[in-house]
Amino acid sequence: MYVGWYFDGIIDEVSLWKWIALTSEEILARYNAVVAKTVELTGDYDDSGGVGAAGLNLVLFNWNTVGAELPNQWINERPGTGTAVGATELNGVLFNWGSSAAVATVPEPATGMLAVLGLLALGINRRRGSGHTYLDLTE
Amino acid sequence: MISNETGKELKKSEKFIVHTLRIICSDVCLWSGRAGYKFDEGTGTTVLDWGYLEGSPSWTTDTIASLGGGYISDYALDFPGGDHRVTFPQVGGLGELGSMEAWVKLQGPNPARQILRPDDHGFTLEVSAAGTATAYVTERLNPNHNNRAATGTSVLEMDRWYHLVAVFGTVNAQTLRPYITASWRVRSLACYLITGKDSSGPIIPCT
Repeated sequence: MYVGWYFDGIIDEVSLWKWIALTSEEILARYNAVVAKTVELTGDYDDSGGVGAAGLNLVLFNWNTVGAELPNQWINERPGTGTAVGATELNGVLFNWGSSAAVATVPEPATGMLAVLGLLALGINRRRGSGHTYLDLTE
Repeated sequence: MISNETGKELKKSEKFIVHTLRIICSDVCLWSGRAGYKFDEGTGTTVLDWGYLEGSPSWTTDTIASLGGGYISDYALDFPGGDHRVTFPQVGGLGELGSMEAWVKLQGPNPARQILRPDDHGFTLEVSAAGTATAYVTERLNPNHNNRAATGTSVLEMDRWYHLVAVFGTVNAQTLRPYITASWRVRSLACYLITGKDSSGPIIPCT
């Protein structure tokens, strides 16, 4: 049996099952065994192990940017190629603000919405300078 | 240690004569019916999973452990494309019911990148020239022994880890119906149904 023939890239953890057809649940369990932290910790876009300012900055500085054009610093939960950064990603940060990989908590949605309203009230202005783009969410 | 089905230890010269996946050893299998190849050795040209490197695959610490879930994987194998591979003892067919799994990260545009395949083409998991995950299995109950194929609908991106699983089985004792699931860390499990040669659908619900 060959592994990696004409393959340009990296292969890890190959398995075969004889007379066993994995169920959807078993496949998902095996996937989660490797990426469990990511599955549990929504909003950790920069893969820092927590949800906070770094993730929020990624959202704000890349607002309305499609997934394929996001910077490499955006590691987890990148939107799809044709999907732009928007409210879903913002809520991912706000609803999980302060969570860490060890303790992933999900605040009440009402709390998150208050935070969103707070951000809107701040009226973050779009500015250019120092390599950053600031978004005006009130536009 | 590799044993035959009776548990008798085989001589070294016989160790590759294993016609089923009933292999008993700590590194290769976790339970009867499954063979696992971890690629965690890190050095040399012989892997503890009873295979050996041919050509220039190299050990790398860029493993699925980098995905951050706490999964321990010390090393993986980096394949340069072309006629380079790891060769394992023939495992025989997977029967009329079986599963294949691999974590892969594409780094080059080589067409028809083969993740795993046996010498007799009984089953194959590969990334097609179009960049989609594809599985082939030989339909042994079909008089013509035709291959059945399943192709995922999404194009795998470069430099990103993917979890590929192909599952196949017998329906009405007539047809092997493989299907592919491909998932990556930034989205929950995505399940792609069969397209291509066998459009009859998966044998188990795809949720």
